[in-house]
Amino acid sequence: MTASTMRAEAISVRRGAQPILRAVDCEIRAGELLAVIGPNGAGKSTLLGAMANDLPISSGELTIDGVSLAAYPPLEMARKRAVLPQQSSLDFPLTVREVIALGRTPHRSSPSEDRAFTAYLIDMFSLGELADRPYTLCSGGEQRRTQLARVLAQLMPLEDGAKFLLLDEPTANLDPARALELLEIAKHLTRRGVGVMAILHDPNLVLRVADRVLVLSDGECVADGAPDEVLTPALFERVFEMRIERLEPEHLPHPVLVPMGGLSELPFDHPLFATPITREKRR
Amino acid sequence: MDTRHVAIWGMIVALVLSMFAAATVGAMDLGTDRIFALIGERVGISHMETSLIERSVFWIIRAPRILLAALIGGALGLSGAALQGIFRNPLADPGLIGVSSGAALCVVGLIVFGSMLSLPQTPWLIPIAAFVGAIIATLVVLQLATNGTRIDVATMLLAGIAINALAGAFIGFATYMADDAQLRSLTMWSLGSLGGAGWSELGVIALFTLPGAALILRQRRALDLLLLGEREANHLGVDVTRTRRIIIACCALIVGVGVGFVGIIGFVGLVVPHLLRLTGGAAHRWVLPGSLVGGALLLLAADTLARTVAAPAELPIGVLTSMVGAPFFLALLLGQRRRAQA
Repeated sequence: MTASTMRAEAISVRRGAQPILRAVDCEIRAGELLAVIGPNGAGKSTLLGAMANDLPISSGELTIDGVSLAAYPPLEMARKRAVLPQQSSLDFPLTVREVIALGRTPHRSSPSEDRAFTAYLIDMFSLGELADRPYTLCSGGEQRRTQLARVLAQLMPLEDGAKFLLLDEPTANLDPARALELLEIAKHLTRRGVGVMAILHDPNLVLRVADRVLVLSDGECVADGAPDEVLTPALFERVFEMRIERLEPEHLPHPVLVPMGGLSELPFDHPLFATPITREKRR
Repeated sequence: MDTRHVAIWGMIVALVLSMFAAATVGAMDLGTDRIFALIGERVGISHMETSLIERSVFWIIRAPRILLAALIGGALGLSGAALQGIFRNPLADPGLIGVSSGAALCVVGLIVFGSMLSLPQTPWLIPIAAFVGAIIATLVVLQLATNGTRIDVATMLLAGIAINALAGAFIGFATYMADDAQLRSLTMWSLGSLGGAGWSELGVIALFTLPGAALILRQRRALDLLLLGEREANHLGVDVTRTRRIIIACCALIVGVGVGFVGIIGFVGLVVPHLLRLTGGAAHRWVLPGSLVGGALLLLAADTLARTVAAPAELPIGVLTSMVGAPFFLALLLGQRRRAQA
């Protein structure tokens, strides 16, 4: 039997009459980290939202192993697929421990089992000192780690069938060390058989952690493949309208991309920038 | 054991003790021993002598009133907590967002214009009218305040102000139109009083309130998940629309029925859940039962005060809860700000 996959086939999403996604194919394979990149407004979050059932799709199909997502009972779906949103809107004083424990809800497992999972995750994310602090008083990075722990609590135990994790810009607002740490955790999960999809912005992080990358531009999929084959200077010129230098240092396992600048000249030589301002006296 | 668990049991014990204490005070003093004698006589385990007047005061006046205060206070506290959960905002109080006045509007309409419709005379009409008014008001507020998936707080409060104003205007109009007999029942009702309570009203209210409260309490986990956000709740397998419908219907029912019989009583649903969140956090397995018992305690205390402080006259209970509740809430906000700045 081949590995489980969560698949979007030729899905389109509209906002009003405006098409946001046009016939996009996307496949998350169990045991693989799929990175989604693309310029702002390319439809990355929309794709993730569609795969999370946040948004209605106007055509196409969403399946896990050939079974339509709509056919899964809600609790079974919740045990199979977890979503880390870009921003959390929790502004009630639940403690960090309580937030993480909420991830256990779809399992209907015993309280002692839930406590064990929660305690393990608190430990794993070094949230021990914060565990009984209100979530609302935590910093942005601490909140992000708490939310990640919550979605892991939702997916555990990992051995129990195919699991998929959707991460919407998980590294936004994290310092480089925390960002890498978070992706290493995601990477680790793929080794345990989880299929992970992550919207990322830093191509070097993609090269370091992703098994596959899907490039979206203007609502369409323009490339899908191994990161070091897909992320070429030509792609960056075409999709991001920027020049990059690609270095392949011998002592590193993957190439390094260095941004060199935009393609068009910034219009700071416009005469308006040099015109002295004349202030009129007001009556 | 969880300390919050202990705290809830402590509150329940305090409520029972308060009920006994409230039964002893009033125009006629009844000692605790007399109360035990009266109850013991009724259930047939004591044969101490009790007088007719003691029996009347306790069984006809005080006992139903005390139970009613606890029941309605609990309903107001619980529905405040639950509405705050689905609106995801601690300012959603049944009084502030217009649920209570929606119910009031329909009840007043029934009292004054009901005779024109030649409706059957039954005590059930008032709770039904109150429920209809409450549910319409809640749906209007929810519809107006929902912007995509987010709830806009300003719109929620403004919609509440509009419904309150509309209800106020209509009640004024109805008062103007009413004849003498209608005016008397209208005035009695609109001041808000638990005084007219007998066992039959208590029975009707309990019949609606107890199942409604039980259904709300069952949603505690879903409400916790809703705090994370609607999409997040959905990802965790919660049927958000269904949870919302249950909460709205049950809150409209228990608030509406209460308002229908005793008038508008404000601030219980705002102050009690707020206090509970300050002391024990926002988890609904704490806030919901805590608000139920806490609301009962608060309204029982308020009603006991209302009927004793100016005895033999009686203060309107709605006036009293607002007089105590509003400054208390302001003090809470002030304290919270100080702590945030420190």
